[in-house]
Amino acid sequence: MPWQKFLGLKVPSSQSAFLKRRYSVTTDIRSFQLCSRQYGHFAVRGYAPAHSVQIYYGTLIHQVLDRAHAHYAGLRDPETEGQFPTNQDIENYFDEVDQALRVRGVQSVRSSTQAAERKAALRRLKLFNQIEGPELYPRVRDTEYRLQSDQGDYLLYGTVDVLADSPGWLPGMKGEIWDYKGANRPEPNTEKFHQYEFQMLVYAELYRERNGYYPERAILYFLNELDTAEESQIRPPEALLEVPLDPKRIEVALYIFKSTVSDIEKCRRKDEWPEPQAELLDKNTCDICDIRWNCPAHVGKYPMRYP
Amino acid sequence: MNLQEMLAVIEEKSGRELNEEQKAVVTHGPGPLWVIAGPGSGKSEVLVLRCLKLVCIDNVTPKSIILTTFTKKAAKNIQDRLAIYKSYLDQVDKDLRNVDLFQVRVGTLHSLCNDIMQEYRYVDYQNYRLLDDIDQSLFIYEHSDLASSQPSRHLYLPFWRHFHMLVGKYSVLTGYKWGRSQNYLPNRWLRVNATVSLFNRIVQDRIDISQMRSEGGIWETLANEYEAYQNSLELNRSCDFAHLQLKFLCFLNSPSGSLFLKGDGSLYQPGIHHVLVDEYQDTNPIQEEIYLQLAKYLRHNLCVVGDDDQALYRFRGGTVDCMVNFDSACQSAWGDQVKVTQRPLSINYRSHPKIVNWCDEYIRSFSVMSKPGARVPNKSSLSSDQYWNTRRRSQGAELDNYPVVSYLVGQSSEEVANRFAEMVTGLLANGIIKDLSQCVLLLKSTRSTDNFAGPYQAALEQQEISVYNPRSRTFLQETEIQTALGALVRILDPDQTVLSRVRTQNVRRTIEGWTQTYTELADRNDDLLNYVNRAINRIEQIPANTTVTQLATQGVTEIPATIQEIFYHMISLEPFTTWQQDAERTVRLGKLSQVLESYCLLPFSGNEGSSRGNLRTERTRRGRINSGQLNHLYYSLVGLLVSEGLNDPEDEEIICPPGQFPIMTVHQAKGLEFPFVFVSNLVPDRRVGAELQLEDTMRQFQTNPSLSGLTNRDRADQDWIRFFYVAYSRAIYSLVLLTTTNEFEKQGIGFGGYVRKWFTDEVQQLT
Ligand code: SF4
Repeated sequence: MPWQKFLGLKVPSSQSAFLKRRYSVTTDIRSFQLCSRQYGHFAVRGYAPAHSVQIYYGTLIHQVLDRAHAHYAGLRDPETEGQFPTNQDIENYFDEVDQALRVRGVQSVRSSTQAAERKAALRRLKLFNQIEGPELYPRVRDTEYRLQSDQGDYLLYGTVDVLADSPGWLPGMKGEIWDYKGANRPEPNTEKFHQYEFQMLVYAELYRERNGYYPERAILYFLNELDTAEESQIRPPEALLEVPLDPKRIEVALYIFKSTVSDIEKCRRKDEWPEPQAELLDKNTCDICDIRWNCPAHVGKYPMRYP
Repeated sequence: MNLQEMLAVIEEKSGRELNEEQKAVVTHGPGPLWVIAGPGSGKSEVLVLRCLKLVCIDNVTPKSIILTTFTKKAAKNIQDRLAIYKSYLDQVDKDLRNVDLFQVRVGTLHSLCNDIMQEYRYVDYQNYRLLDDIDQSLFIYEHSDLASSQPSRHLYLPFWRHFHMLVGKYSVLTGYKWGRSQNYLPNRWLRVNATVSLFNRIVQDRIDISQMRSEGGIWETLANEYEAYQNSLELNRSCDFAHLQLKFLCFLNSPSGSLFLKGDGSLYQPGIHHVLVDEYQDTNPIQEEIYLQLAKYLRHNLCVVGDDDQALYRFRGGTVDCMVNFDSACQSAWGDQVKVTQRPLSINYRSHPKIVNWCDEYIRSFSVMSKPGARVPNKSSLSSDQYWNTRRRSQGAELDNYPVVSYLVGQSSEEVANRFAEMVTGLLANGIIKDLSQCVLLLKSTRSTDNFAGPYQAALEQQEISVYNPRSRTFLQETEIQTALGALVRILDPDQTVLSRVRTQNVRRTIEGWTQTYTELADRNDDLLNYVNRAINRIEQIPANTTVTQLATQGVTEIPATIQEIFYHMISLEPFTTWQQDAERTVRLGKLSQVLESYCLLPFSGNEGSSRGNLRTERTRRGRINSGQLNHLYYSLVGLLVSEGLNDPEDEEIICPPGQFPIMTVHQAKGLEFPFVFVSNLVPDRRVGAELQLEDTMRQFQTNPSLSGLTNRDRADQDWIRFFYVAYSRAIYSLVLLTTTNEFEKQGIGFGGYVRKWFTDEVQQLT
C-alpha cells in the first residue's frame, strides 16, 4: 500500500492563517443593528438586492455637495477656486449627477413621486449652499475623509463626509467632522437618534486614534429640515445637530460597538441571523426589504404579491 | 527608532531572522528595484517589512505609498501583517503611534484604480457601473455587432475565419466544432467569448487602433467594432476591468491625476513617492505602463517583486516579458541613466530540501528555458533552507525516511484515482496527516469530467471522503438552482410557447430539465405551486404592450415587476425556506440572485437607462410576456450559463474548510502551500493556444512591442513548464505525481525535460 511508505512522516497540525475581518461603521455595524436577518442575507450570504433604489437620494445629495466643495477648492477647475457656487452651478452639478445615476438605472424608490422628490432635493441643496456655503466651504480641509483602526481581531473603518477647520482655529488644528443626512432630524431618545449619534461618536474615536486628539466638534446635518428655510434663508435649528463629544459617551459608544461586532461574530459562527424584536423594527427598512415576504417579524403583514 | 532596532523587534516577535538577501531588499535606498523571488522565499514578508521601513524609519508619508497585490485576499493579508508588526513597534517607540499605516494604499491594481479615481471624483469614472466577467459577456452579447444574432455574413465570415483560433472550438450549445471551411458563422456564444478576448486584448496590449484600422480588411472591421463597443460602454456609463485600467491611465494624465502623483506639499496631498508591486510576473503591458507612470516623478521608486518561472496568466493578457525585461522598460521610460538594482531572493523556506532541489532541476532540465528571454538573465539557483528539518521538527513534524518526491502509476485514470484515494485514506487513518485539508490535488481543470476531476472526485467520495471543489462548474445541476429557474420560466412562459421555438437544442433541453425539476418539487410543495399559478393568472390579466408593475405597500405606489422580484417571492416559500437553512444551498441561491442581477441591470441596446429585468407584455397580445424579452433571456442568459457553466460561490476567507479534501487548479493554488501535494494531468496538450496566437498577430499594432525572439512553440512549452513548476513548488513535505502508464510512457512536460532515467532516479515509485 502506497501510504505505508510514509509511516516515517508525521505532519503537524496546520495553523490556519485567519484574515482579520473588516467592519464598516455604516455598511456593517449600522446595517446589522437595523436588522441582523437582512444583514446576514445580503452582506454575508451574498444575496443581491433587487432594487438599488434606497441609495438614489443619498448618493445624489452627497455627490452634489461634494462638487460644491470641490468647486470652491478649485479642484475641478482651478478658475473657480475661492468662488462660492451659484444656484446655477448647483443646478448643473445636480443635473450631472442625476443624469449619471439615471443612465445607470439608479432611481428613486417611489417612481410616481420621483419628480417631486427630485425638485425637493434640488431645493434643499441650493438652500444648503446659500445658508452654509459662505461659512463652511472656506474651512473644508478634506471630503470623504477615511478613518481606520486596528481593533486586534478586526479592522474598523468609516468615512466622514467633511473634515473642516473649526471656526477661529488656526488651520491644521483640531477640526470638525460633518456628516450629511438626507433625512429629517429624528425625535430625541428614539433608536434612530441614538444610532446617528453613536455613529459620530465612533468616528470621533477613530479620529482620535489617527490624530492623537478628538475633533473639536462632530456635526450631523439633516438636509430635509431645510424645507422650512425657504423664506427666511436662515438655518432652522433642527437642521444642525452637534453631538457632544463627552469621552464617557464615546466609551459607551465603543462598548456598544464592540458588543455589536461580537454579536455579528456569534451569528456568523452559528450562521443564524434572527430578525429584530418587534419594538426595534424600522418600518422604512422593512417596507422595501426583499426578504419581507416570509419574515417572522411580519407574519401576514406583507401579503404576497404577484407580478 | 533606527533600522536595526526595527528589524530586531520584528525578528524577536516573529521568531525568524532575515537573511542577507532579504535584508538587502528591505533596506534598499531610492531608485528602481527588481526583486527576483523564488517560491517560498518570503517575498510578501519582505514587501511588508520594506513598507514598514519606509514609513517608520524613513518617515515617508503612508498615503504616498502604493502596494499592489494579485488578489484581494493577498491585499488583506498584507494589511493585517502591517497592522500586527506596527503594533509591535508601537510598544517600543511611542512616537510611532500617531503614524497611520492604514493610509498606505494597499490593494489589487484594479481596486486601487477604482478607489483612487473615486477619491479624486474623476468625472469620466464616477457613477460608472463596473462590469464583471459575466456582465461584460452579457453586455457584448447585447451591444456588439460581432456577436449579434443576424450579422452580415459577407462582412463577418472572413473575419471569423481569420480569428479561427478563438472560435474554432467545440460548442456545448451546438454540439459540434466550428471550422474555417464552414459557410456559416460560428455560434453566437463562441463569438461573444472571442469578442471579449479581442477587446480585452486591444486594451491590455495597448494596441494602436488607428494603425490597426489603416491596415484595412478584417483589421479595419475589428478597429471599428472596438470603437463601437467603447462608445456603448460610455453611453451606458459602464466600464469593464480592462477599461478601468485605461481610464486610470487617462486619469493620471489629467489635472487631478497630476495632483495625485505630484502632490501639493500638504499632508492631504503628499503625491506618490513609492510603488511596491507583488507578483510582477503576471503583469500585462497596460499595467506595466501604469506602474511606470506612477513612479514617473521623484526618484523612480518602483520596487517589483516576482518570479518569472511562476508566470501563469497569459490568458488574461499577462506576459512574463514585463518581468524579464524590467530593467530595459525602466530605462526606455526614464532614460538610460536610471540604474535598476537587481536582487534575488533564492532561499526556499517552504519545501523539503529534496522538493526544492527537484523543482530547480525540473525547470533547468528543459533547453527551451535557457533561451534568451525565457527567464531573467543570470538567475540564481533555488537553494533550500539549511535549518529546514530542525525548524519543521520544532513545529512537531516527524521526518524519518519517507519518499519526498514520488509517483503513483496505474493502467487507467480510474485505477490511478482509486489508488490515490486509498492512499489519502491511509495517510489520514495512520496519523501521517492530521486533516484532509492538509492535502491538495492540483489539476489543469477542476471540471467534474472524465479527463479532469471526475474520476478523482468519484474515488474520494467512494472512500467517504468529502471533497471541496467549488470550481467544478456543476452549479446548474443543483436542485435549488434548477427549481428556482424552472419556476421562473413557468411563470414567464407558462405553456412554453416561446421556449418550444428556441432553436439551440441544448438551451431548450436544459430549460426543459429545469421546469421538470420544478414540476416534481411543486407536486410536494403547494405554496410554491400556488404562487406560480397565481402569478401566471395575474400576468394573464395585463393588457398588451404594458410594463408589468406591482402595487406596492405603504407610500410606494407601484414599481416595475422584475425578474429579481419574482425570485425573492419564490424563495420565501417552501422548499426554498428549508434550503436556505443549509449553508451551501443558501450561498448558491445568493449567487443565483447575483447572476439574475447582472442580467436585470443590462441596458437594452440603444436605450440608455433601460433594464432587461423589467417585464413587459407582448406588443399586441394581452396576458403574455413579450416574446422578444423571453427569447433574449433564453439565448443570452441561459446560453451563457449553459456554454460556460458556473462555479459555486467561494468563501473569501478560507482556503479549504477543515475535514474536506481540496481539488484545485494550479491557478487557484497560486501563492498557497500544502503539506501534501498531488499533481495529475502531467501530459498536456502542447498545441499553441489561442491566446498566444492572438498575442502574436496583434503584436504588429502594439505601441511598445516586446522584443523577445522566442517562437510561439517555445512560449507555449515555457508556459506549461512554468505551470508545473508552480504546482510542484506548492508542496511542503511531500510531492506525489499521479500518472497513467500511458502518460508515463509518453513522458510529457510534467515529467521534466531529461530522459526517463533521470526522472526515475529522482522520483520514487509508490507501489
Ligand atoms: S422585513 Fe424587516 S425585519 Fe424582516 S428581514 Fe427585512 S428588514 Fe429585517
